[in-house]
Amino acid sequence: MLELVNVCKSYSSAAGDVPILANVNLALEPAQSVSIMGPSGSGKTTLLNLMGGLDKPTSGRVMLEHKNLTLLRNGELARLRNSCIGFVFQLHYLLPQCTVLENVLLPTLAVHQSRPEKDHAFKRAIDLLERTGMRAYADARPGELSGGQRQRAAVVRALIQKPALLLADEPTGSLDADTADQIADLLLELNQSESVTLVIATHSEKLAGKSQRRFQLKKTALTEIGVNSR
Amino acid sequence: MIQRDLVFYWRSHIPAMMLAGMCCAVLTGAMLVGDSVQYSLRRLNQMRLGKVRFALAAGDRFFRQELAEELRSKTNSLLIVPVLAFRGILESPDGSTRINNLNIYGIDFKQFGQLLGPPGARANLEPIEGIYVSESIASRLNGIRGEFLLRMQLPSQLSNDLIFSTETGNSQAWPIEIAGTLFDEDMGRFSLQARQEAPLNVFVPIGWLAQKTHVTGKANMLLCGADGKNYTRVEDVSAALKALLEPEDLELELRRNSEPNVFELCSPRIFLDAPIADAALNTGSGAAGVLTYFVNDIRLGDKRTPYSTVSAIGGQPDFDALGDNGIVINEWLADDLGADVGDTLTLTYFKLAATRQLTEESARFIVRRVAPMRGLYADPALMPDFPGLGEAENCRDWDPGIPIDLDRIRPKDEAYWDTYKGAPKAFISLAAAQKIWSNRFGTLTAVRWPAGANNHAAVRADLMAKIEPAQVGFVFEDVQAAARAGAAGSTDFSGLFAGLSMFLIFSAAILLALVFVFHTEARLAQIGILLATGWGRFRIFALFLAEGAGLSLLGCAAGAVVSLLYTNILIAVLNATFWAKALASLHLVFHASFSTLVKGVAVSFLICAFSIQAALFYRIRRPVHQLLTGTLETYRAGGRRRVKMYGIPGCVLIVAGGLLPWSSEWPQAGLFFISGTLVLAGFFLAAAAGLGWLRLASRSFARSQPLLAVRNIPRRTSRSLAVLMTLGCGVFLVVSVGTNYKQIGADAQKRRSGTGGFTLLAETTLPMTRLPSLPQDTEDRVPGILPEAVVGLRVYQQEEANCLNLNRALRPTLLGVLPEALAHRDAFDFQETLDGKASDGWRLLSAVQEDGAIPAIGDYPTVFWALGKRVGDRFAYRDESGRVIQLKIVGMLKDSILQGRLLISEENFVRLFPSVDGMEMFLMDADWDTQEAQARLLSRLYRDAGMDVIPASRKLARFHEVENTYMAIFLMLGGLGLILGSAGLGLTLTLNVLDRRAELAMMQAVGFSRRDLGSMLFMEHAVLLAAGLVCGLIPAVLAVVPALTTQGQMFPGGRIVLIMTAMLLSGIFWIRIAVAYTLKTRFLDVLKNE
Repeated sequence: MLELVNVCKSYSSAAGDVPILANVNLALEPAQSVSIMGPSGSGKTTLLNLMGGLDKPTSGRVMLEHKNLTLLRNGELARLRNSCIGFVFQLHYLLPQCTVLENVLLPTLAVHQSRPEKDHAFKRAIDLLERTGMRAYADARPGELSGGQRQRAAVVRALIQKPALLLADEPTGSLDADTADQIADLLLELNQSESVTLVIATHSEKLAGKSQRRFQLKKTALTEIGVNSR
Repeated sequence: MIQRDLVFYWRSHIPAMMLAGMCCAVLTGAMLVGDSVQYSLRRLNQMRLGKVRFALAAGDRFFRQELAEELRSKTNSLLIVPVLAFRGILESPDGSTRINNLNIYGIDFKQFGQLLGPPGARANLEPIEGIYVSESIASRLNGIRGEFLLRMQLPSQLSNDLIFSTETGNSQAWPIEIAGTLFDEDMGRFSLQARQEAPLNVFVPIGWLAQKTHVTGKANMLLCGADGKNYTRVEDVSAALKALLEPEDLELELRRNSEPNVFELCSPRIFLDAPIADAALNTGSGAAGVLTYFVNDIRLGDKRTPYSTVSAIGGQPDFDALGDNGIVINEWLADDLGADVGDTLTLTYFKLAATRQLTEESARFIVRRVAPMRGLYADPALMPDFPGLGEAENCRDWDPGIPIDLDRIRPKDEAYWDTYKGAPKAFISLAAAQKIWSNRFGTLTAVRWPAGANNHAAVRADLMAKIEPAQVGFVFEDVQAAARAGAAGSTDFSGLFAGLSMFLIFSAAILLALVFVFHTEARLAQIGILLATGWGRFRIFALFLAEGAGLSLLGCAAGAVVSLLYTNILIAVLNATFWAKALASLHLVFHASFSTLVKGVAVSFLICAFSIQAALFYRIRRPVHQLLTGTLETYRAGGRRRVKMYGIPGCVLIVAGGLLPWSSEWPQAGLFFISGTLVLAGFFLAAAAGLGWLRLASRSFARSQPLLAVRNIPRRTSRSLAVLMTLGCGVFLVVSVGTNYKQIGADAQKRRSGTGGFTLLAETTLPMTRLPSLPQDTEDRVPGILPEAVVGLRVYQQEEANCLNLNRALRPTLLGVLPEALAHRDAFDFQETLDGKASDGWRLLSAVQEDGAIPAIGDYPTVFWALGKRVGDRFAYRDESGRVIQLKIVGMLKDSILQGRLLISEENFVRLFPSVDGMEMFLMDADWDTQEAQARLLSRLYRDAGMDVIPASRKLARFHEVENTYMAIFLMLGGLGLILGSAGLGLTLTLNVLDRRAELAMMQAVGFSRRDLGSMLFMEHAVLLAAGLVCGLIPAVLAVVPALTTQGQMFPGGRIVLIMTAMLLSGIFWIRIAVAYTLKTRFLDVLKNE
C-alpha cells in the first residue's frame, strides 16, 4: 500500500547539506498501524510529510497505491492527498469560523462533488461524529470545544474522504494523559473499523505500544524495533 | 537592538520607507505648489509695480505735472513720476480688429523706465510717431501692423451725469502706429490693480496725450519710488503732497470779483465737492455759499422768460428771510414779466433722474422784492462756467448738455446776454435752492468772501490748509504693502493642494500603518518573548516606535527630495493644462523655500509616526500568552447583537440622509455635506451589521468554496471594516467631489439660475449714460432689444474678488444697481439673506441699516471664499472722498455672473462715488436663440464705447471652469489616492494570510490546491472591495443627484462608471498581486514541527 524505497532527505544550510533521512526503506500493508518514534529533530515529521506527499525526498521513491509520489505534480498530489490520505496534526487546525460538521466536511470542498456524493459525505460525517462521540457537537464551533474534542473533530476530518492512509503527527502531543489515551484508542479503533493504514509519529511509548509495528528513527536511519500481534 | 532590527528586517522596511517618502513628497509638494504660487504672484507684483512704492490715482481730476517735481524736491529722496492715465479702445480702421479695456498711459519713458523697468531698460524709448503696447496687446494683434485708431473719452471736469455736461463728442479717436512692444519684464505689465491677468497697456508720451486730450501740462496719476530713507510711510508722502497742492490741482479757482467786490471760489466742475465747500465756508471771514442753477422758464401767468439763471446766496439776511417760497427778481425780469411784489412766479428746470433721464420740474415762488440792475443783481460771475454757455458770444451759440429750443430766445434775451451775460435774474434763499437743486455733485456752485474783510493770499492759504486732499480723491496708497497683503492673503494654495491631495496622503498613511501592522504581527512572538523576559510594554513600544520613526525620517528626507521633482511635474501639468485653461495669464514658476521643505518633512514625519504608533499600540497591549502564539485572531461566534446594534441606526441614517436633500430648503453645500455624511455613516454601520449577519448566516451550511470564502470575511471584523471604510470614504470623496463639475444646464434661462435669467452681459470700456438698445434687424431676422429689457450697472472699478484673481481682493469692485430692476425680475437665487427671506433679497439693498453701514450683496464665491465674509459681516471700504465707510453683507447669491463684485444700491453708489460716470455693465434680456447674433450686433453698434457682449451662460461657464479645474485636480490626486488605498486591500490580504497560514497549510494538506486557496482568498477580498465601492458610491450618488437635479444638470453617469471601473480594476490588480505573492509561501512548512 505504501512503500518507501531508498528514501533520502537532506536540507541545505550554510554549513552544507544536513542529512535527515538516509536510505529509508519501508513497506506497509493496508490497515496496518505503525508508530515511529525518535528523539526531537530525528526526522519523524519529515518522514510523515514525505509519506503524505507534503514534501519530496532528495532521492528515492515514495509509492502510495502504486503511484510514485515523487513524480506527481502539485495538482495531482493535492488530489491524491484529498482522496487517499488523511492527516492529524499535533494542533487541530480547525477553522474557527466553521462548525465542527463543516470542518469535518472541509476536505470534500476541495473537489467537485455531485449532489448524491455530497449527501453521502454528509451522512458519513454524521456517522463518524456519532462513532467518535462528537455528534452532539456537530453544530458547535471549535472555540466551544475542549482540546480532546477538537482533536477528535480533526480525526474525523482526516477520515471523511475514506483515506487509505492516515498520518498522525504527534496527535496526542498537546493533550493530557487521559485525553491522549482516548485519542490513541480512537485512532486505533478507526484504523481497524475503517481499514485505513495508520502511521503515527510520537514520543509516547504508550501510544507506540498500541500499534502493530514500531519503528525507531535515529541518526537518519529507520529501524523496526518491534511488532505487536493484535 | 534597533540597529539589528533595522538590518535584519530590511526587506520589510523598504515599503515602509517608500510610503513615508510618498506621504512626504505629496504633502511637501502640495506646500511647494503654494510657495510657487506665492512666488509667482510676488514676481508678478514686481513686474507690475517695479520700484513704485506709493501711487496716487486721481481719476478724473487733473493736476499740474510740475507737482511731481515739486514733491520730489520737497521729499528730496523719492523718485516721483507723473502719469496721464485713461481707458480706451484700439481698433483697426476697418473695424475688423478691436481691443477694448485698454489702459492708456501717457508717460515720460525715461522716468517711467527708472521706476518700472530693470536698470537702463527702455530708458531711451521715446516714440515720435506711434505707441508702445504691452505683450498682452501684441499677442492679441498677432503680428498685425499698420495704422490703428486709438479711441478714448476726452476728459471733462464735468460728470456725464451732470445735466449740463455735453455727452456728444466726448470720445475721440486718433490714428496711430504701433512702434513696438514693451515686454512684461520691462514695464509692459504696469498696473496698480492686484490681479494676475495681464493688463492691456498702451504707452504714449505724456506730452502727446495731454495735448490730444486738452489737458496740456496735466496729469492724473503720481507714482513714487521708494529709494529714500525718509518718507517710508504713506502718511508722510500725503502730508508732503498736501503742503504743495495749489487750488488749480484740485480744479479750483479763487478769483477776485470787482462788482461786487468779493473773492470767489469756483470750479469748472460747476459744483463744489462737499468737503471743499465745507472747508471754504470755514475759511476767512464772511464766507457765503452760492448756488446758481439754469432754469428753462420763469413764468408769470402766460408770460415767460426763457433760459435764465437763478441764484441763491447764503449768509445774507435779506435772502435768508425769503424762506422756502420767497424770490427777489431784478428789474429786467420784472419788466419782462410785468411782475411786481406779491406775484407768484413758477420756475421750471431740468433734473437728471437715474440713467440720465431728464425730468422737468417746477417750483413756485412769491416775489418779495424787485432789485435794481446793479451789483449782485447784475453779476455775471454768479453763473458757473456751464459748458456750451459760458463761452458763447450770444444766446444762439448756446450748446448746453440739455435740450433747449433756441427759437424761444427773443432779441431782448440776446440783448440781456450782451449786457449782463449769465447774470441771475432772480434770487431765492440758499435753503430753498439746495432743497430743489442739490445733487450728488454738491450743494454749492461757489463760495464768496467780501474782499474788504479778507486777504486773497490768506484765504488761499487757509483754504488749502483746511482741505484734506484725501477727501477729494487725492489719496496716496502704499501699493507695495497692498500687493504684499494681496499676495499673502491670496488663496492658500498650500492648503488647497494639501486638501486636494488629502486622500492620497491619507491612503499613504493608512498603508504605512498597515505595513507596520504586518511588520509587527510578523514579530508578535518576539514581542511576547520580550515581555516574558521582563521588558516593559512601554519600552517595547518605544523600541518599535523608534525603529519606525527612524525609517519614517529616512523616508521623509528622501520624500523631500522627490517633492522637488513632484512639484515641478505638478507645475508643468498645471501650466500646460488646467491652469492655462482657467487662469491663462499666470505662468507658475517653481519656487521652493527651505523652511517649507522642513515643515513638509516635519508634518509628514508626524503623520507617519502617528500611523505607526496607532498600528503598534493595540498589538503591544495584548496578553503575553496570545502574543507568544504568534497570532491575535480571536474568533467570537454570534453577531445577533451586532446586527441590531448597528443595523437599525444604520438604516435610520441611510433613510434620513437619503430623504434630506429632497425635503429641505437648506443651502446646497450644507445639504450635500450633511446628507452625504449621514448616508455614508449609515452604510458603514450597515456594513458592521452585515459582518455580524454574516456570522449569523454562517450557522447555515458552508458547502462550497465561495461560501467558505465569504465565511472568512467577518473573522477580523475591525480589519475588514477598516478596509471597507477606507475604500468607502475614498470612493465617496472622489465620486461626490470629482463628479460635482459645474456645467451650464438648461436652467440657465431661468431667473433663479446663475445668469439671473439674463441672456447677454455687456461691459463697456467707456461709460454710457443711457441704456443701450438694439434695433430689430429684419434682414437677418434678429430681434431687437429695448432699453426696458436692460439693467444698467455703475462700476467702481477696483479688484476682482473672484476665482480668476489669485490675490486676496482687499477692495472689491462695486456695482451700483437699481434694486427694483432686479427685484421685479426676481433675478438670481439667494443662498442666504440677512432677514432670512431669500425671495425678497434685493430690497435689502435699499434698506437703511441701523448701524449706518451700506448694504451690499455678493455671490457665495465672492463673499465667502474671496472676501472671507458671511452674511451680516461688515468691512471697511474707502469711498471717493477718502472716507472710510462700512459695507455690510446683507445677502449672498448662490452663483452668479456678477462673481467678483459686490452690489450696492445705485442711490448709495452715486452718493459714495459721485464722479463715477454712467454705466459700464449691462444685463440684457435678449432672445435666447439669436443671442450670438445679438451680441455681435451690439458690439458693433456700441464699438465706440468699447462694448464687449457675451452670452451670460458663457460668462458663468468661465467662472465654473476654475472650480472645475480644482475638481479635476482633486479627481486626479484622489484617484491616485484610491489606487494607493486599494493597495491596502492587497496588504490586508497578506496580513490575513499571515494569520491563517497554518489553516491554509492544513487545507493544502487535505487536498486544496494552491489555485483553490488563491480563488478563495481572491473571492473573500473581492467581496470586501465591492462592498467598499458600494458603500462609498451609493451615498455619493444620493448626495449629488438632488443638487444636480435642482440645477438642471446632467447626471455624470459616464464619469462615475469610469471612476468605479478604474477603482475596481485597481482593487482587483492589487488583490491579484497579493494572492500571487502570498501563494508563494510554503504553507506546509508551518505544519512541520521540526
